Formats: sequence, structure tokens, C-alpha cells
Amino acid sequence: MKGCTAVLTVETTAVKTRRRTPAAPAAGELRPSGARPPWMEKPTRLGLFLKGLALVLVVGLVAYPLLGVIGTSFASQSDIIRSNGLVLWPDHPNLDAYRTAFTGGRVTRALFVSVGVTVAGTVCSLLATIGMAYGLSRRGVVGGRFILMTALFTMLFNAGVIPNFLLVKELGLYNTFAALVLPTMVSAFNLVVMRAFFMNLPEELYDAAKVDGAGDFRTLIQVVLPLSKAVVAVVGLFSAVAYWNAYFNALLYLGDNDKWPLPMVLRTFILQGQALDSGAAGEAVAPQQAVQMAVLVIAVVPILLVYPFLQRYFTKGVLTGAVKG
Amino acid sequence: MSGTTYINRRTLLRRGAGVGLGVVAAPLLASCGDGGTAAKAEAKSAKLLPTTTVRNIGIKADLPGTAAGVPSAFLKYPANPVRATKGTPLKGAKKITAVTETFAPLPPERGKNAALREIEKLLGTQVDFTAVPADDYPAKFSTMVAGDQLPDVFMYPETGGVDNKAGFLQATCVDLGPYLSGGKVKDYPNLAAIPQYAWQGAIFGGKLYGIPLARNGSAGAGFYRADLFERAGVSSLDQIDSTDRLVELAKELTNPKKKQYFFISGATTLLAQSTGAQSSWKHDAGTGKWTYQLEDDKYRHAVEIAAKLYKAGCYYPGTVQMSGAQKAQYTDLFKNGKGAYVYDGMPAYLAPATGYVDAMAAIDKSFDVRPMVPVGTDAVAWTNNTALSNCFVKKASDDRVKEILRLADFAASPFGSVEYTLIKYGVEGVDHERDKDGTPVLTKQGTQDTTVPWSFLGSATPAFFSATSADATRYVHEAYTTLIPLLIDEPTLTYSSPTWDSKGAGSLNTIHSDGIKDIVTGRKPMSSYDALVKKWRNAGGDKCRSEFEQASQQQAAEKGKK
Repeated sequence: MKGCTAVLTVETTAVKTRRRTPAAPAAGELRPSGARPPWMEKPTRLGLFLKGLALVLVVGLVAYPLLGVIGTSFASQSDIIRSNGLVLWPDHPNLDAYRTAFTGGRVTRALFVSVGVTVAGTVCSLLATIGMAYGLSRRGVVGGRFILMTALFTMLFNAGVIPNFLLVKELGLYNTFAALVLPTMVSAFNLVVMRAFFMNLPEELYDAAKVDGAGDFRTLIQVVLPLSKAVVAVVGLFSAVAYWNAYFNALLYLGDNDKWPLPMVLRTFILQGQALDSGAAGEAVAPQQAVQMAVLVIAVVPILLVYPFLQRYFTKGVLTGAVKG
Repeated sequence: MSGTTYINRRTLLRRGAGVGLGVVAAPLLASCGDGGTAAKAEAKSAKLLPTTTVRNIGIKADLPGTAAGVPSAFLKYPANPVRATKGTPLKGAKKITAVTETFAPLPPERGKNAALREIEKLLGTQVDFTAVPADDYPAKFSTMVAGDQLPDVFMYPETGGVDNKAGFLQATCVDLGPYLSGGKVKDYPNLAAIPQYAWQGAIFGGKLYGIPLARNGSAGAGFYRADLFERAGVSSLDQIDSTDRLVELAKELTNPKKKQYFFISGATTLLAQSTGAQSSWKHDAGTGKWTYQLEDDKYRHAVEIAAKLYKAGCYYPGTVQMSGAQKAQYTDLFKNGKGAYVYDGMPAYLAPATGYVDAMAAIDKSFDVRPMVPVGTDAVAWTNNTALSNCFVKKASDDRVKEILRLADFAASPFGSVEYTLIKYGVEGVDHERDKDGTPVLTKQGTQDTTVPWSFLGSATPAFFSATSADATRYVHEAYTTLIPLLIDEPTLTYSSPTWDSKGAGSLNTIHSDGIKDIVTGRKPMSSYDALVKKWRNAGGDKCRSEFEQASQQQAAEKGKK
């Protein structure tokens, strides 16, 4: 197993090296960016066209619903009915839906709750995951393997809704914000990614730190973490997105509507007007679709804004963790 | 909420073990409790029913209702609402907690909700609601039951409740019989106006446990475009004297080139009521035999007609397969003028702004949408919308139960009362303004403030009123004047079967409706109908039948003794 990891590591490094110095030109000059390496043939026009077409199609598939949601949120009710529910370009654009969504302060309050839970949750998750991953990445930790296996077990099997609820209640967390953070604080997947990253740092660094008299805590803070920004960013983003989107725990563990985070409030807007298949006919009257879409936009925008800042770490962090694991 | 909980390693492990056991035992504990009994089939005793009366608070309906069940209709909103409850009904009571479903977005919190504050002032106490989207309610309810977190009063989920409902109610909820049965209900005059058919559905395990959220008896038969029917020479529904005529009309009004179809979504409910098919179960008192809807030849005939109409291309493509979650999508097609008929429930007709009347008027003034009724000489109407669900009261002291019943009585206040106006329209000047006709029109604030689910704690039969169209109010009143005399007996209201209670609206209904969709859309041939009936019977249908039979035989034997 270990040998295998080593081979993989060597190969990946080799690939990287090749990519970094692709076919060094004879004159010693660097190849201008965008130029084709010599071993690649010139693409045919058809090939280029098909590639372009495929890209446009994929972008279209992703962008269409997103634009539809934004367009519909600005449309009037009759615009929406005329175009059967999805408006790309509203004829009578207005901000009514956003005004309605923000009236009464329910959405604003939920937005604050969500931001709070996301920030607090992400910080807690990072602290717990970093600590646990570091501990489990070091050799000779008593019971390390057992703890790791226990964590991995949760990836495959889950206790179920009611046992989880009973545990949360018995721990005195029912109807507290802590119930939204603690049960999901350590994700086994994030733990594995981070542990793999830490294990991949050169052993010599740890040895050097030890020689200089650093304990585990100082090694983690001053040596490991500064080298692990990428994986911390990635795990942070994963956790943040998970906290931002989570609604089910809020549904179960919060008895008070005033404490509900945005996704749960959003759900009440989205589910408005939906009939239960076997419920009494038509109990739910038609929703204001523009308001539904406006709330969707409100929910998506904050996390969308964070994304570009972390994206550059993204590929690096995940790949390193995954490939070298 | 739970205060401080001191936990050390030992208690954590002990609790962990307890939780492990809880996994296995929770449903059993929840449904049986300390007074656990096995669920059994039974006939519901008429003695338990409250003596119901028509509620008159002094506001005269423009189109009066009838004792048989036609609801009252109002063409104008009463200028001076009157009180339907006395004084401050819950003065001095401690805070009441309530959990209900909701079909609306969450209301603003108390500090920002003028309507909520005003209602609580009138009530004399605070009511803390947890409103849960209807789709999520079964999950929430299961955890509330398992975790023993039931509030003072709660709405029972429409689907996905506990397995042994009677046992659960006996263990955790108050028997309301001593408070409401017979003449005792007169202490709660608004609850006394809830029709008998709704009360019948509130009896479980031989006791009256529920406060029904009453509805109009029949869910109606959908909506049609009178202007399109007129174009095809049908100026009155009486002219459609048979299902054959309806089929002709459907073909005539279908024009795929213009993307014009007769049916949007399903039509089996309309067709089956028109062929005179039974609703869910039928009990033949003479032979004691029970038959289910799928086993009724008239229902089978209706499915056959639906399949033929589908083959003839009379359904808007793709809409028959749509689920309740896609309702907005297919009803938009109808509102947009793509269809001549859509099946939907009556509340969707007069709802302000987004209901059929208002939404279609905004699209095209010539769209004349009206409630459909079953057609032809064999037509019947199903008693399929007696109550949305029931509310139950958690076991409490005598005084507390009375307080909660006074709250339900307040919530069930009739149309035009001060209480009703506050619940539906909030506070004048903040949540609504009266227009030139005196109709309350919700402000933006009002649309948010009035989503507090008061009406899910108690509800009388809804009256009809449209702020925008007096004609539409007349049409819906006319439709019920036709529908109510056509209503056929619904034996599941007078007899109960535990299997039907737990599976009827769930797994058995899924087999039934999915199977019918398969046949109508041609994915399976009509010849597979018998296999569907067999599948349904084996999945629990036959068990329901034997339980119902047992209940009716038992009742017959008891009558014989007397």
C-alpha cells in the first residue's frame, strides 16, 4: 500500500515536471503562452468547431436555468404564466418580487442566521478537521487507526434521522444553533482529504521542526498550516457550502421558526403552492413564482461571491489530497 | 430550551446505549405508549359526534348556504365585522405551543407582525407556532413523536403519520368527547358549525380525538374554459349529457397545431364521477360486501375513456405524468390558455392574485374560467374533501384542554367576523386597506403577516368570496349547488380500518394512481388493469377490506342484539 503511494507520488511529480517545462526550445526561450507544444498536431477546423460547439452546449445547459431563475425573479406574474414559468427576458421587469421577499424581515433575519451559522460552523469545522487530520496523519498515535476507521465508517453508514434527533435532544441541543453545527462538524471526506495533504508534506520538515524544539502544536501552526493553505481553503469552502445549504437539520432540530436559516425559509417559498400527491386537492394555491425565484437568487448570490476568491486553491487542494492519498 | 445538561463520559455512553435501543423501540413506544392497544377495525359511534348547527353571527350571506352542505357565498365583504367569540377567550392562560403544516412562506416574527400581535391581544395569550412546509411535515412529525416533543396542539400530517394512530392518540392525546360530544359543543359555537362529515373523520379507536379542519365535502371536479366550450356550441354544462359527448367535445377542442389541448394533467376524477363510479370504498349494507374503487366497473370504464382520450391526443403532452410538485407548471399552461380543462381543488379558484380567476384575467380578459361539475345522467360527486386533517391536543389538565378548545374555536370563526378578518387580512391600515367597494386589499406587509397558520388549528367550512369577481363567486356557489345533491355516501367516514388509516393515503394510493397513469398514458395496456387490481389487493387492499367487513359485521350484530 505504502509502496503504491510512493509510486503514485513519483509519477505525479514527474507529470508536473513535464508540464512545467514543456519541450524547452532549443534557443532556451520559453514557449509563448497559448502556443502548441511541438508534439501536438494542428487541429482541424472541424475539430475546433466541434469542440467549440460542445463547450457552448455545456455552458448553455448550465447557464439557461440560472438565467431563467434570474429573469423570472424580475418578471411580472402574467409574464411568467405567458412563458409557462420560466422567463429569460422579462417584458415588464420590476423589483416587486425582491421587495415582497424582504418585506417583514423574515428573509433578512434568516440571511443573518445563515451567515452566522456558516461562519461559526466553518471555523469550528476547520479547527476540528485540522486538529483531527493532523493527529491522524502522524505515525504512532495511540488508537489512531481505530479513530480513522470510526470516522470513515460514518461515510458509509449513518445513524438515521430519529436516533440522531434523540441524541441531539439528549445532549440538550434541541432548538439551539449548536444543533446545526455540532452534528455535522467533522465530515469524513474532508478529513481524509486534509489528512492526505498533511501526510504528503516532506517528512524532513517535521524532523527539522522537531530538531528545532517545536512541539506538535507549534509544528502544526508554524510549519504545516502555512504550507497547507490550499487544502484549508478547499475544506473551508466545502464546509461553508454545506452549512449554507443545510436545511434538514434545521427542520428537525429547531422548534422555533424564528431561528430557521435561509435554506429552510427558502423552502417554504419554493414548496408554496405544491400539492402533496395524495393530500387534499388544491389546498395549496398557486404561488408567486417571481418571489420564489427572487429568494433563490438571494440564497445563491452570497456563496457565489465567495467562490471566485477560493477557486484558485480549489483544483490544487482537492487534487493533491485525492491523488496522493 | 432544554436548560443545561451535564454530560460526562459515563452518561454519554449510557445515553448512547439508550439511543441505540430507542432506534428499535421509538416507533413502538410512540404509537403504543403506556396504554398500548392493538389497532382494530370499528364502526364509529354516532353518539360521539357533536350536535352541529349552522352558525349565524348576524352577517347575511348574499348567496346563502344550505343545511345539506352548500357553503355560503358573499359578493361584498361585510363593512362592519362582528365578534364570533366572547371577550378575551384565553385571558390569563399561559403560552400555547402549536405545530402545523403550512403551504405559505413563513410569517415575520412577532415584533414585526402587527396581525399576530393584534390577534394575540384579542386572545389574551401568546401562541408560539412552528409552521413546517407540508412536504417536510412527516419527517418533522416523526421526530417530534419519537423525541416526545409534541406541542400543546398539533396538526396531524396528511400523509406519513404513525402506524397505530388510535394507539398513539390514546397514549398521548386528550379524548375530546367529554368536551365536545353531543350538546357539549355549544360552549364552542364556531366548532359547532363544523359539519358532521368532518367530525366523523375525527373519531379514532372509539373516541373523538380530533378537531377537524373542515372543507367543503367535495373537492369539486376541476375548472373549464366556458369561452372555449361556448365556441364549440356548449353554453351550459347540462348540454353535455353523457361521457360520449364529453369525449366529442374534447376532440373538437384539441388542436395540436395551435398547441391547444382539452385536458391539462389528469382527467380521471372528472370522468369517473361522470360515469357514476364510487369514491374509494363502497359498502353494500344488504350483503355486507365491501368493494374498492378499482374494482368498480364504472371506474374501469372511466379509465378506459381516459386512455382513449390520451391516445387521441387530447391531453397536453407530458402533463398527465406530472406530480404535485410540478403543479405550478401545468396549471400555468391552463392559465396561459393552452387547455380547456384542468383538475385542481376549489381553493385555487378564488385565491387573490394567483388564483385562476385573477391570474387568467391578467393574461386575457376573454378567458372565462368556471368550476366544472361531473356531467351526464349517471353523474355522482365524491365526498372526497371533508377535512384537510385533524388537530389533536396533547394530554393536559381539564382547564388547559378547555383553553386550547377556545383557541380552536377562535381559529374557526366564520367569514366576516372580527376574528376571521384579523386572521385573513390582518390589521386595517397596516396589513390591508379597504378599497372603494369596502373589500380588504392586502398590503405587501399584509401578504406576509397573514401567513400565520391559524386556520390549521380549527376551521369551519370555508365560505366563498372573491375580491375581484362577483361572477366567479356566483359560479362556484352554483357549482356546489349542483355538486352537493350528487354526493354519494363515503363509508370510510363511518367505519375505520387500521390498515386503511396507515396505508390508504400512502402506499396503496401510490400503487393505484401510478397504475392508472401507466394505463392512461399507454405505457401498459388496458388488459393489465386486472393485474393492477391484484397488485393493489395483495399490497394491503384485501386486508383493509376484511377489516372494514369485520367492523360493519360487528355493528350489524350489535344492532341485531338490540
